[in-house]
Formats: sequence, structure tokens, C-alpha cells
Amino acid sequence: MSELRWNPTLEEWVITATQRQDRTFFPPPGYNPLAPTQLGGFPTEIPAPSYEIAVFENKFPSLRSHPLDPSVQGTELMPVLPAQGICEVVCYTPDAEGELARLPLAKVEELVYVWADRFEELSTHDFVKYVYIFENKGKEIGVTLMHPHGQIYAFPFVPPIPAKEMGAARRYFERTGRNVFADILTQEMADGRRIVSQNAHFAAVVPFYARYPYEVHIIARGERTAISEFDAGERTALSQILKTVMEKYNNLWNRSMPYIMLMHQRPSDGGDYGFYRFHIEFYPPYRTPDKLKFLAGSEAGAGAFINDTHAEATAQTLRETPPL
Amino acid sequence: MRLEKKRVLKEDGRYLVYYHSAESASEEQRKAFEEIAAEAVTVGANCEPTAESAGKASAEHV
Repeated sequence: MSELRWNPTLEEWVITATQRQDRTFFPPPGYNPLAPTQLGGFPTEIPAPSYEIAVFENKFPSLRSHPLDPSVQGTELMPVLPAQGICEVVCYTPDAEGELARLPLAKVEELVYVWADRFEELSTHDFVKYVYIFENKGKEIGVTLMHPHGQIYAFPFVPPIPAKEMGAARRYFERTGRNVFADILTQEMADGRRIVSQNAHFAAVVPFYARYPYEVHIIARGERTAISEFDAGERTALSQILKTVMEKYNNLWNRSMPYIMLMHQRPSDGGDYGFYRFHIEFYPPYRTPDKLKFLAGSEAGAGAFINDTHAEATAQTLRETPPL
Repeated sequence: MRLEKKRVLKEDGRYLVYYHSAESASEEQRKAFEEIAAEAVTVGANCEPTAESAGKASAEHV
């Protein structure tokens, strides 16, 4: 059963999705649901002998466009709503052994176009308030299906973290008349120590306030608040810097780097969010080649992250890691 | 960049969208995309209709 339960102590929704307990869990080779369907073979999610990029509604969704009734009765203090929304799976390549970092640049650029198209299409639904594009990569993150893919959650509310970012950005604008992300970029470009890579339209930085040792943010240099706003040149530039960052991650310790990759952009209501700025965040969980950064008591319970490294040091390491 | 997409419905009612780039698709991928029977063929984001797709482009052209 699936529903939204309100937490009055944090003023946020929690999504329950008990049907996800039985979702696909490390299927054996030959039973990969994201592979193309071969003649006489296991019927996968994609009934074609090949594909380039395929997007489909998740078979085990947390949110549905036609949700079931909640399984519990809410109260005035703790209301309950149907878990309405849309969950999509984005299959990057038919190659089960592939990964985004190793795809040709043209394929990464196609994915940028696909993301923009999904953002626009999902935004047309009245019940969608926020389109969240992300990728969980690696067993360390909890991935149970290794075929290279990402996901899109079209939420019926603006989730807490983007909401908090937008609130901070709005207050900064009201106070200063300036965009906080633009000011951050100006400072970072002048300083240089935390720059990982840059091109005409984007900068990749380990943020001054990084919570993960090798956290990277890719920030739009232009006044863009959603992926659908980028022109062709900006989409090319985004695919280039994405591939650069992901390749640097893989070259850091000569192995495929697990991470969470996510997009923060404006809500889907088409409103004016000029005080905000499109950006992508990467959270790789490793702090050394063999040590994970866990979200333990301080992070998970208090929301106070402790970073065992300095952003300037890890940014230098990434900057000096190929591709240069 | 020019992308096309085809949207199909699975047996359980979920939708599936195939994206295709004529510029970078392999022959196998091009053939697979052509053979998909779809509800609608639309031209994807930020691209201009080609001469052959202009007739197929629906009002959904972005």
C-alpha cells in the first residue's frame, strides 16, 4: 500500500510504499528487466530487440498517477493523502555492463535532451509540483538493479531539500537583490581552489560547504532554473561537463565510482524562480578508496554533516585527475 | 540534436517511451525503433522537424 503521511514535527510528507518490499533484487543474468527483450528470451520491461534510451513507469512505484486509497485513516494532526505522482525509470543504454561515464558524449547529450523532455512532459500534470531527476549508482548506495539507469520522481509536493534551498535563495535575493548561486560562482571562479572543471556554460566545484569528501556541484553559469530552459549549446556543454566529472570519479581510484547524482531545479508550476539556479549535485559515498562516509548520528539524526576532508584538497585531487 | 520518441502502453497500462536519434543510432537500434508500433510519433525536445518527419509531427511538438 502506498500513501503520504504528514509529519507535523518536521512539517514534511513521508511516502509509504509497502509494495516496494518485493521489488526486483539483483536478478540473475538472463533475467535483467532493463535489457532489450530477445527472441524467445525473458520478457523484459522493454519489448524490443534493442533501444537507445527508454523511459517507463516504474513497476514498483512509490507514487502513481492513479493512486490507491490510503491504507490508514489520517487525523487532523497527522493527515494522510493518496500517494499521487509519477515514478519513471530511465534506461541509459541497452548494455547491461555499461555506465553513463563510459557512454559516448553524443549519448550523454541525448540523455540531457531526454531529461528535458521528461521534465516538460511531467510538468504538464496538475498533480505534479516537482520533477526530481536522479541516479543511484552502486551497491553502496543501495542499488538492487545494476543495469545503468536513473529515475524520475514527479512529486505532488516540493520535497524538503529543494524547498529549503529555494527558501534560502529567495531570502538571499530579498536581502541583497542578487542570486546566491551566481554569487557563489563568482567567488569560486575568483578563488579557484575548489573548481574541478568548467566550460562556457557550467562550473563543477567541490562546494565550500561540501558534506561528502568528493561532493561535486555542477552549476549553470547562466540564469537558468530548469533543464528545459537550456539551448542547444548549453545542453552540449552540460553533457560535456557531466561526462568529465563522472570520468574523473572513475579515474580517481581506477574503478567505477558509486554515487547519488541529482538535479535541483525549479518547481514545475512554471513560476518565476529567478532567484534560484539549476544545478546538479553528486554525492559519492567513499572518503578514501576503502572507507565509506556513513550517515550516522550527527548527519541522520541532527542533519549536521561532518566532513573529514577539506573541499580545497579534494577539489585539487579531482582537478588533477584525468580527464584534464 | 534531433530526437524522436514513440510512446507505447504495456499490458498493465504503464507507458513506455522509446527515444531515438537518427544521428547516432546503430543500424540495429534504428531498425528496432522503426518497427515499434506506437500510439504517436513525435519530435523530441529542441529539434526541428526533418522533411520526412514533418508530416508525422503532431501538435505535441515541443
